[in-house]
Amino acid sequence: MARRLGILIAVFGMFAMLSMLPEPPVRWPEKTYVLSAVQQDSMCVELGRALFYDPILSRDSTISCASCHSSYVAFTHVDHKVSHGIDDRIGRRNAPALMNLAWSKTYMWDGAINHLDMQPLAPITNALEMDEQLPHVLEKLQASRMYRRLFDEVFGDSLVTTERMLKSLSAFLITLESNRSKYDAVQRGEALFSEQEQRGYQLFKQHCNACHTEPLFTNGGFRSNGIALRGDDFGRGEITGIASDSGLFKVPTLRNVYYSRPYMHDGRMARLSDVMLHYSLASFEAVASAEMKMMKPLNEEQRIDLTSFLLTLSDSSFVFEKKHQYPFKLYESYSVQH
Amino acid sequence: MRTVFLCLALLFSVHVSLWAQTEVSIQFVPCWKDGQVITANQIIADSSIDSLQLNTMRFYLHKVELTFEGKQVWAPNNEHFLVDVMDDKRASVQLILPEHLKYDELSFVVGVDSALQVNGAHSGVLDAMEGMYWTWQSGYIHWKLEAEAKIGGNRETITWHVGGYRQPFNTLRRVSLPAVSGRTTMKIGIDVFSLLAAKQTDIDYTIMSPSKHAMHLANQFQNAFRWLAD
Repeated sequence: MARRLGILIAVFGMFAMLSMLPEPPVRWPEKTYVLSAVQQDSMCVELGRALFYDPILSRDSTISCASCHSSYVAFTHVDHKVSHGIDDRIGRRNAPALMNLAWSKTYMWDGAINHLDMQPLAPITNALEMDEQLPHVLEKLQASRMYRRLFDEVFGDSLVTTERMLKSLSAFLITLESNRSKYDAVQRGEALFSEQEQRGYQLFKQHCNACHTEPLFTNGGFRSNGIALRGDDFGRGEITGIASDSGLFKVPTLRNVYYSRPYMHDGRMARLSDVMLHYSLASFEAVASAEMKMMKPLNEEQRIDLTSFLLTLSDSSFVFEKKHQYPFKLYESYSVQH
Repeated sequence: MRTVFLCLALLFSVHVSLWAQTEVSIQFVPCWKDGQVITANQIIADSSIDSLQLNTMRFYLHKVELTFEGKQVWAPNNEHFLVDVMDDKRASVQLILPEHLKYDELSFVVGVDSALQVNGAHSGVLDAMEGMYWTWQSGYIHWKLEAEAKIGGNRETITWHVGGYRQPFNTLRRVSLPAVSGRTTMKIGIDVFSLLAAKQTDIDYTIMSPSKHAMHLANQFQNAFRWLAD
């Protein structure tokens, strides 16, 4: 009898101990982008960085990729609902933050682009953004002493081709990995959430994780989150031609959400508190996707807790990483002025 | 010694005949009713149309196959060709076939293989520089026809950029034609009249994205290929 009691106490003790252990860290999925050997060369990354920051990609050499994707705000366009491109032409969507792109299967708010290599073609040729023609871009790069030298160093000859240019840009973009936030430190067992952050994390897992799935904080899918459609933008439906896709937009990552304001595909919400309030309105359920039904209205205290958790997704080492910033030294060495 | 020499010579000749190859050139040309070839800058005018000037007709093809009595007898690698019927230098496709290959049907897929549509940047004929890649969304334009026309008294600009590799608007189509083996040159016409006749159903003169209209045009294009006399 005493032996049985001992076993019972031991089993109970084991379960009690297990329940006290921290939750296992969330595993990162496999990357979808596979770098070639050339793209892993640091010079190829530097070439991609030079291209990313160079307005030579635009028709009149005034707009670069970085014009709308600034490193210090997680590569989005701070305080701009939608970006302005060449000749101050206004676009129709908010510039998405750029990070952890190696895990993405589609790009743009409507998923129009199916591979990172092909992504730059859209802004380069879009009349509201860079308004340039691909053959002219290659011609300008070929005429540049700096780019001839860089292409030679990376590819073994100075020929500028579409494929080389796009893969170099991808090589740089792939380096934009954000995984050093407080959330990540907690996952690695190197830090602890505060009580408020922990409460916010529980709320997040209960209400948000279905779409903004850890650890990328997006499931890569397309959803309606209940905001009213404005203008003639029908999102995913414009690409697939399927009626049920109308009004769906890509679920954005919440990593570095503190830096990447304003929010939503058209930047209509300026503050995180606006977003929280939106999800607390009963009216949003009418047009929201199925998962949104999990997002029950939160009271003010819960909204503050959730915000507190979202701030743990800020990765300042990513945002202020020198290797991601304007390549002063490279341009200076070739006397390039922008 | 002489016997050995004869045997070697015999083996060599068998080897040569087994591996002998012949080049077959397939030329693509735009044509009108009754196989009338449309030349560059030519303005077509007849009872069916006030005027038509064809400016562009380009298309990708791949998965070329030859069959005999229903069985595949030749299918090389999955090379892609970009045919431009308005440019003599790019209007033909060269095939290297085993000599004396017997076949009775030629087929090929018009467009770019779906697998290549989703794995990034390519070079050669698949370079986006060729102007056959949509930049506002990912995907190659399988075929392109651009023309100026006057139809029923109305001036029309025809811009058909037909592509799409995903369901429900996958516009890849396999074209099959009966073929006679042994020829080194072949001429295939693409019947522009039949494409314009298709317009009269329910499609627009401007098609520039995957859609049900693009699917309809793709079906018409699939049936627009026909042999012409050399």
